[in-house]
Amino acid sequence: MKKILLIEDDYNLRETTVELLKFKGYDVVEANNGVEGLEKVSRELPHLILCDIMMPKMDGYEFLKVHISSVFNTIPVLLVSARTEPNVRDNSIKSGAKGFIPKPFHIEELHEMVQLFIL
Amino acid sequence: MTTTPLLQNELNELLVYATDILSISHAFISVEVDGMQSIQCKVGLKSLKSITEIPDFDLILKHNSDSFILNMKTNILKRYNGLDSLLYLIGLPIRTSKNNGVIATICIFSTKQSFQPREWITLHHVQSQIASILALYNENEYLKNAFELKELHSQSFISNAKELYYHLDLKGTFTHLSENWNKLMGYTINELLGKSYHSLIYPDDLSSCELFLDYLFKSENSTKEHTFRIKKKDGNYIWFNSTITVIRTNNIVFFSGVAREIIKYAWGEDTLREQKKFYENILNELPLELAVYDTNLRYRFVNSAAIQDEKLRKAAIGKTNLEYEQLTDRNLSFGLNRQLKIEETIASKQALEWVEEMINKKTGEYNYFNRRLNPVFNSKGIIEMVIGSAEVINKSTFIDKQSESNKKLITNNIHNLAIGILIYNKDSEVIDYNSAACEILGLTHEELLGRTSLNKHLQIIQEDGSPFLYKNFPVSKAIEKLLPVNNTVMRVSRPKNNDSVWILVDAIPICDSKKKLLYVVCSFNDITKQKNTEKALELSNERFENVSNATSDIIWEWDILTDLVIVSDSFTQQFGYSLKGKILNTDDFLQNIHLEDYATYTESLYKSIESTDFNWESVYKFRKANGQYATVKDKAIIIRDVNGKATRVVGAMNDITSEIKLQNEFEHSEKQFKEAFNNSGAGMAIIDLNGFVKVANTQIVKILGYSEKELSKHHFSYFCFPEDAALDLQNRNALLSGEISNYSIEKRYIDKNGSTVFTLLFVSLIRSVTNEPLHFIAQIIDITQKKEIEQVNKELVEENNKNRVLQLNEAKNMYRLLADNMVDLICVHNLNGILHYVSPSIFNIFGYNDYEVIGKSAEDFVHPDEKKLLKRCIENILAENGKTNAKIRFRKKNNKYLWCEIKGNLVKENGVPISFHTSTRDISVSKNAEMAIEKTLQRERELNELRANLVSTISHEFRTPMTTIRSSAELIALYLKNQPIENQELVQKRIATIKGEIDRIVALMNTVLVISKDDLGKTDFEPLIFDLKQTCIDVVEICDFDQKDGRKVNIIIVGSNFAVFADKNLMEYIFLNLLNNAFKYSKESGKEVDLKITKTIDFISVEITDYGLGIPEVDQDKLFNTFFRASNTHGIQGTGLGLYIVKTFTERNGGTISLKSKLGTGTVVNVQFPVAKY
Repeated sequence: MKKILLIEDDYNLRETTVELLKFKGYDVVEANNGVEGLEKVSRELPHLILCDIMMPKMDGYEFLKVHISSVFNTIPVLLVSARTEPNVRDNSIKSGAKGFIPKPFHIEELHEMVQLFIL
Repeated sequence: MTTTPLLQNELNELLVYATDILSISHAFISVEVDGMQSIQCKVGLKSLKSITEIPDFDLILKHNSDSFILNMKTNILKRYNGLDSLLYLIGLPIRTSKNNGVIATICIFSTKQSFQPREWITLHHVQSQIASILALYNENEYLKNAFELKELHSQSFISNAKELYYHLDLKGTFTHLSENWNKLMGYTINELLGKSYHSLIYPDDLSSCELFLDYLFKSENSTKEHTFRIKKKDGNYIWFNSTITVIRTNNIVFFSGVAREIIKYAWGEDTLREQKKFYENILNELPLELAVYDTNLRYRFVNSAAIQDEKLRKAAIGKTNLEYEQLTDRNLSFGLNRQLKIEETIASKQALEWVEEMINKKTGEYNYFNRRLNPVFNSKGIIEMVIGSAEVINKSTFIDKQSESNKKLITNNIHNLAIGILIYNKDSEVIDYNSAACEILGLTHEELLGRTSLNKHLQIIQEDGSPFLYKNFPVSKAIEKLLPVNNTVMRVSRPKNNDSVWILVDAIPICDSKKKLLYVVCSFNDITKQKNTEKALELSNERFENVSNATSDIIWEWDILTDLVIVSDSFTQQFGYSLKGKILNTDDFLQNIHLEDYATYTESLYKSIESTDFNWESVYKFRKANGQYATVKDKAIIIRDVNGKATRVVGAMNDITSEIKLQNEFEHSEKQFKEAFNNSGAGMAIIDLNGFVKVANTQIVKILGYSEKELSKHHFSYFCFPEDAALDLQNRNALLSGEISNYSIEKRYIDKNGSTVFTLLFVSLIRSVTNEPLHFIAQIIDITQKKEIEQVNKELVEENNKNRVLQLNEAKNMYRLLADNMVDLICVHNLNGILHYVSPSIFNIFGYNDYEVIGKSAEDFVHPDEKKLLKRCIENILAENGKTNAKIRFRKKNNKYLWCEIKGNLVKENGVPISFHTSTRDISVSKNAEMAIEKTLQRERELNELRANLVSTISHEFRTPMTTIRSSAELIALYLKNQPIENQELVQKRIATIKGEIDRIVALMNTVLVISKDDLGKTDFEPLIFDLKQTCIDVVEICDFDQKDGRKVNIIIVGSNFAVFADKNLMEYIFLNLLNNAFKYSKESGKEVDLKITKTIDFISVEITDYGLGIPEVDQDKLFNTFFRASNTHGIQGTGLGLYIVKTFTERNGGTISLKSKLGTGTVVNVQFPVAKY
C-alpha cells in the first residue's frame, strides 16, 4: 500500500482529505506543519507528500526548500494552496514541487494528480 | 697682343702719376704689339711717334736686368723739344713671368744717370703696376677669346641639333611629335599623329624595336637607348639613336623619345646610295650577266647584261625567278629550274656552276652560258645573298672588246666622281685613283701610285685616336676575306698640309669568275666637317652640362630652330619634374608658365628675339611638378648668327619664391608697423638713449601740441613736469641697467600752451640682437580728462557718503517703525541665527516678551520634527539666493506648538552679508485644516486597502473551509452510494447541489478578486511582443481538454505573422473566458465552437463564434456591465462579471471588442488588437 504524507494545518480539512485518500486506498500519514512534516518524512518514508503552502511555523515553500536539499528529495511533493494566482503556481514548480493543486479541489482532481506523481 | 683705348688710358694715368712724383718732364710707355714695341702713352714727347726713332732702344729689350740706362746722342735728341739737356734714357723693361720676354717698357729721359733710392722704389712700383695691369688685361683677352670660341661651339651645336622628339602610347601610336619631324624628315606633324611607328621603321629594325619597347616597358630602368633607321618622307632611311623613356604618370603610361640622327650613318647612307649607283653603273656595264638574290630567292639586283630592258629590269627587283617568268610570259620550267638551283646553293652553302644552253629566238643560234651561283656570307657566316652570274662562253672575243670600252667608261666615271676612289691590286698597291682621292688625301699622283696604305705620307688613326693596324685597313680586310668592308671611319693626317682629314672608307674586292681577286675598289669621302661638328656638339653638350652642374640656377637652352628646350638637372631637382633626357618641347615648357605671366613672358621674349638685344630678363611664375608655382627670375642671353638672327636663347632661372615672400612679408610688416604707429590711439615716440625724440607719431603731436620737429629739438625732460622728471629718469636708468624690461607711470607733461597734461606713460627699451640698448619706445595716453573726472568723482563720493549715513539712519528708523506695527513677527538675526531684534507682535503670537528671546537662536524654539527643515532654511538664506519660505512649528510660551510660515531675507551692506531677517506668520488655522484633509485622505486610502485586502483575505480564507465542505459532501456521497437507504437519489441530488453551489461561490470569489485587484491597479501588466496565434492555439488546447462532452474548437488562420504587443496572461484570460462562454451557452445545441484569427495590415482580429442560445437584442447593450446576465441564462452558472473583465483587459491591451448575436442562432464575439510595430 502506497503511503502519502499530508502536511496541513487546518484540522478539519486534514481529516476529510485523509478520509478521501484512505477511501481511494492509500496509507496516509499526517503532519500539522512543515517542521513536523520533515520529521515524518524521515521516519515514515512516504511515497508522496501533499503539502499546504500557508502554514504556521514552517510554510510549504520553506519545507520544500529543506526537503529538496535533503537525502529524501526523491520523494515527490505536491503543493496545495488557497492562493490561486498564476505566480503562486509558477513559484511552486520553480521551488521544486512536482505539481500544484488549487483549493478547493475535487476529489477526482486530487486523485488524478496523486496517481500521476506517486512513486 | 693688341691694345685698347681703355688700356692706354690706364697706362697713361700711371705715367702721369710717376712723372709727377719724380718731377720728370719726358717719359713714355711702350707695349709689345705684334712682336714690336709700340708707344702707348707719353709725357713731353709730342712728336715722338715710333720707338724706332730712339736709337739703341733694342738694347733695353735685350738686356736682362730690371733697368737699363742709355747715354743718348745729343744730336738725335735735339729733334725733340726740351730734350737738349737730357742725356740719359732710363728704360725699365716689364717682363712676363712665364718666358721672361719683354712685353712693355717704361722709359724716362733724365739729366742724371741715377736716382735716389726713394725714386727707384717709386719707379719699380710703377713698373710692377704696369706688369699687373698688362697681366690682367691679357687674362681678360684670353677669357674673351675663350668665351667667343665656346660660343662658336654652342652655335654650331645649335645649328646642328637634329633631335626628333616624340611620344608613343603603349600601342606604338604617335601621340606627340616635335616640329623637327617636319624639318628633318619631311613629314607634317598631323600626317604622323595617330599612326603607328611601324610604318616609319626600316623593316629589318622593326622586330628589334618592338622587342626593345617591350623590354623597356618591363624593365625597372625606364630610360634606354636604341639605334634604328627611320624612313624619311622621300623614302630614304636614316639612322637614329634614340633615348626612350617610359613615363608613368598618374594613370597614363607612354614612351617619350628623343631621337638623334647619327651623322656618320646618315652620311654613310648618302654615300651608300651614291656607291650603290656607282656600282650599279659598273655592274650594268659588265659584259657578264649578273643577278643578286636575297635568301628568299628574290632579285635584289640584275644588271643590264642579264635583262636588257630597263623597265623589265626594274620590275624584276623584289620578285622571284618564277614570278619574273610569269611577268614575261616565258617558259615557267626555266624559272622553276633556276629557283631550285638557288635553293640548292643556299642549302649547300657552296657555289654552284653549270653550263646552260640557250637558243636565240631571233638568230636561231645556240649560245652556251657558263652559269654560276655564289653564296655570300655575312661576318657571322650566315648567307646574306646569292650572286648569280652567266658568261657566254662562245663569244669571248666580242666580250673582250666590249669590256675594253667599258673599262674606259668606268675610268671616266671614276675620275669624275667627287668621292675619292683608289683601286688597289691584290698586293694592296694603288693601281688607279681619281683626282678626288688626291685632293682629299692631299697627295700628288706620284705619291699615290704604287703605294700601299702604309704610305709614309699618311698617318692613319682610328676613330678613338689609336693608330690603325695594317690588318684592320679596309683594303687589307677586303683582300683577306674577299668581302666588301664598309663604313670604316679613319683620320688621315696630312703632314704636307699640316692638318688631318676624317674619311669614311669602303673597300670592295672585285673577283673574276673563278673567285680570284682582280682588284679592290676603295672609295672614301671627306667627312672632316661632319666629324668636327660631331666633336663640337659633344663639347657644347659638355659645356652645357658643366655650366648647369656648377650652378643651382636652372639653366635652359632654347633652340629656336628645333624649338626644343634643354634644361639642366636642377630643373628636375628644383621643380620636381621627373624628366629624363632633359629635353622639352617648347610648348611643354611654356605651358608651365602661369597664365597671368604667359602673355608678358612670350611678348617680351619674342620682342627681344626680334630686336637686336642680346639680353632678356623676366620674372614670372613657373609651375612645379606638384602644381605649385615658383616665382622665378629668368635671365637669358640671346645668341644670334652672323645675320643677327636669333638662333637660340640660353637662360638661367632662379627660384626667388621665398625671397619674394620674405620681401612681401617685410613690406607688409613694415607697413603694418607704420600704420599701427601712426594710427595708435596712444602717443608713441622712439627716443634715443640720450633722451632725444627720434620719431614721434601724430597722436603724441596732438597730445603735446608740439610738431615732430619741435619735439626732436629738445631733451625729453624739457617737456616733463619738473617733479616727475626725476622719477622717469630713475626708471630709465633701471631699464638701461637691465633691472626692469619696461615701466609704466603716471606722468605729467607740459604742452605747448604751458598747461599740464596728465598721461599714463609706458616705456620699454629695445635692445639689439647682441643685447645692446638701441632706443626707448615711449607710449603716452592722455588721461587728463580721466584725472579730472576722477577728481570730481572723488568729491561726489565724499558728499554722497555723508548723505548716505543720514539716509541710512532715516531708513532704519522707518523700518523699525514698520516692524513694530506689523501683525507678523519680524526678527533680525545675525549670521549665526542669533536673534537681534524681534517685533512686539511676538507677545501676541507666541506669548514671549522680546527680552526673553533676544540673544537666543530660533532653533531653541523649533518643533523637534522641523529642526532639520529650519536648519536647511537658514542655510538657504545664507547661501543660495538669500531667500527662503517654509512652514515650521515653533513652541509657544505655554509649550504648545504653533504652525508658522517663515519668509527670510539676507541683508547685505556694500555687497557683504551682515545679517538676515525673517517674518513669521501664524498659519495654525490653515495648517490644521490642511492636516484634517490629509488625515481624511489617508483614512480613505487605508479603507480602500482594507477593502481590497478583505476581498483577498476572504477569497483565500474561505477556500479552506469550502474545500472541507466540498470534500465532506463528496465523502458523504461516496459513503452513501452503496448503502441500502431510502431516497438514495434525492440524497445524491442534494449533495450535488452542495458541491455545485460551493463551486459557484468559489467562481464568484475568483472573479471579484480579479476585479478588486484591478481596481487597486494591482493587476500585473507587462506587455511584450509575442505571437497571438500561438497563444490562441495554447488556450484552445486547454479549453478542448476541459470539455467533458468532447466538443472542440475549430481554428481558422488567415494570414501570417500575428505579432502583438500585449500582456500575455491577460490575453490568455480573455480568450479562455470567451471560449468558455461560447461552450457554456451552446451546450444544448451540441455544436462545436469556431475561432478565426485574421491578420490585416494594421490589425489582428480574433473571432469566436458559437452556435448556441444567442443573446436577446435588448440585453446586448448591457452585456459588458458588471453583474449583468442575459435574461435567457437561467440555470447556467455565471457571475455576470466575465465580459466586464474581458472588455477591461482588451482595452488595456489596446484592443476593441464587439459582439453580434441572434437569439437561437448563436453569438460572434470579435476582439481586435493592433499589429505590433517593431
